[in-house]
Amino acid sequence: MVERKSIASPNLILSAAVKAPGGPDAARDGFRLGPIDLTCGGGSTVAVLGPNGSGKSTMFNLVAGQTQPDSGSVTLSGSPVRSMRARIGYLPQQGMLPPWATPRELCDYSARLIGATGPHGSGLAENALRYWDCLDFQHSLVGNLSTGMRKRVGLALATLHNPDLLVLDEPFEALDLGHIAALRQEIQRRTHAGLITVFATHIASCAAGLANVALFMGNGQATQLDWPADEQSRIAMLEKKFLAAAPPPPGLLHPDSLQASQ
Amino acid sequence: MFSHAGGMAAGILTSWVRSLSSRLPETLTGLVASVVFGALFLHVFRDLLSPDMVALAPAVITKATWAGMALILAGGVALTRRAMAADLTLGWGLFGRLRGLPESVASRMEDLTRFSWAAILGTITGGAAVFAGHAVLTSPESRLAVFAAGFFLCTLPAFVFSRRDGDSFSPQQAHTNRHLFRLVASNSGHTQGHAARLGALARWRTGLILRTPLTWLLAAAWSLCMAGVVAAAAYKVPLPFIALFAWLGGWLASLPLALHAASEARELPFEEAFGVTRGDIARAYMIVAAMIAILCGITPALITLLNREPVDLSALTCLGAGAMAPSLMPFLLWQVDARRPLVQALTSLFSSMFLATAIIATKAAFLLWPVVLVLLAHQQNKRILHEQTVTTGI
Repeated sequence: MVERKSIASPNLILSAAVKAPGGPDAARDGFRLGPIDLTCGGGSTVAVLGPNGSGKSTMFNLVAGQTQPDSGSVTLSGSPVRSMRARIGYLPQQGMLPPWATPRELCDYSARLIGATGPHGSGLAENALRYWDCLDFQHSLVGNLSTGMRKRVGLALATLHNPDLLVLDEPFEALDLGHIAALRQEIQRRTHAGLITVFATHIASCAAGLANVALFMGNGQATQLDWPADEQSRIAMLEKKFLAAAPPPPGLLHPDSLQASQ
Repeated sequence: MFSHAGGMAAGILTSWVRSLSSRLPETLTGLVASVVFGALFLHVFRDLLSPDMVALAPAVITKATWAGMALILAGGVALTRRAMAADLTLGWGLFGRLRGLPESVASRMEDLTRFSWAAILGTITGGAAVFAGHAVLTSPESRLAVFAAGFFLCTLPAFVFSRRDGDSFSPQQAHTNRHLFRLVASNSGHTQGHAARLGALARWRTGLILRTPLTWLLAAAWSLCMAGVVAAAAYKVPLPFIALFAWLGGWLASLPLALHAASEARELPFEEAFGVTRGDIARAYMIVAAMIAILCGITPALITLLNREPVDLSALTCLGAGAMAPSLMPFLLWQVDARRPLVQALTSLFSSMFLATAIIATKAAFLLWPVVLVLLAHQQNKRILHEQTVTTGI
């Protein structure tokens, strides 16, 4: 979407990364993420799936450099992600946009923060707002926007500088069909451009259609799935894996009935 | 109706007590510190002011009393307007629908509830104004007139403003004032260097703070304090009173910082996704606070300088008193919990009150100021660093 010189071939490496969300002592309460090992080269598109509370957002905070691992390391092209945040785009699950700013002001300001000023910065902001269809409400306060509109503004900010690593925590949530298509197109463009994208989703078809690496999270542990080539097989694998990890309440859809229907 | 209001009040009280008891150690510490600071302040200030108080001209006392009554009435009206916007009647509508009452009856009950709230607030406002003005309201008729004015001014919003119409404290009702924002927040050349980036962070926050309606309300309160400084200086009122107005104005002007920091601290600041650290954000607040401190210090100092004859060092005292709270605020934001602006407001109130009183008492206390700032900065840096490495929230 936006032209910018990137690292020749970025790579993301999680090496035995461990994180307890409330600090190392909080591990006593039960939940701890990791240890996670993952290596992604340029052009990797990683789908992260798992039941609610399985540690996806904690892992995303680690990968985006928002928090540091308690042990192990997370590096982007050999440097700790925390020092590479200017090359990372991050869309958190929950909005963190100031309600008193407008999308246009946010994009202009973000462009300035990455060192793009004047016409170049304005161009970056304009392109991002246009791609994510935000021009109609670019001068409205964020506090007045709907959830879907805020999500699009968040996506515009995350992709503004065409980052080497794009981390999207449940990006499809609250988007309408047209903008889901735009997001799918952007992720595919990044894959072809040799950039890394990591996203979480609960929509099996999105993961199956876009990702070339799939991670399944459960109780803070990540398992890399043996991804079949066929998209339908991927969806079936994900549904089976998901329903086995988080069985539905009695009376609702059960893994066995799903298998029987197939 | 009263049982409904009583139930609501009991609910608010219960949740407040529960919230306090869940943080008992912090609450107790805060209470003890508040009592100690308050007592110390009263002790120091009483001794300092007693002779000055006696020297005050009766005309000044009369004018100050009238001004106080006007402020109470204005505050009461503003409070009632806020209460009318807070949808206090929602419970009645729900009650009506659950009981199967016709829509018109439920709506009437809602109106009655709104008016009752306004009447309660009007009674309190009118009573407070009469109490504050007892020195000048000598006849029963004058007391009745002031009470009636308070009551009717407060019940007026119940009729004038429809529900939520008066809520100008959310973006839904706010104007974007784009030109002012562009002037303040977007006026930058390059942001490549660290200093330039800090400038951009500070300008951005200044723009957002100026856009918040509450800031303008506090700015209006600050200007009232400056009017107080002008009046006190013009009437040749003793210096501690001028400095008191200056300090109060500075404290009010520093509150938008705490409020904005609280709104940012509830989520990860989005700038972090662009490589901005929490230390940078804290430094940006220091820049904004420095600007506020300069404004709040220089304004009363200049007013005093222009009104005092012969010219002496009293302007310096006003400068210190006015700039005290804004200068302390950025070093208090992350000391306890940035998400709770009331904590910041109280800590800055007591600490700035203590230091300002010391400066009013003796100019040697100016030496304390940098020492306190360095200690607070050291403590806060450790706290920010700790949060950055351990927790997910700022």
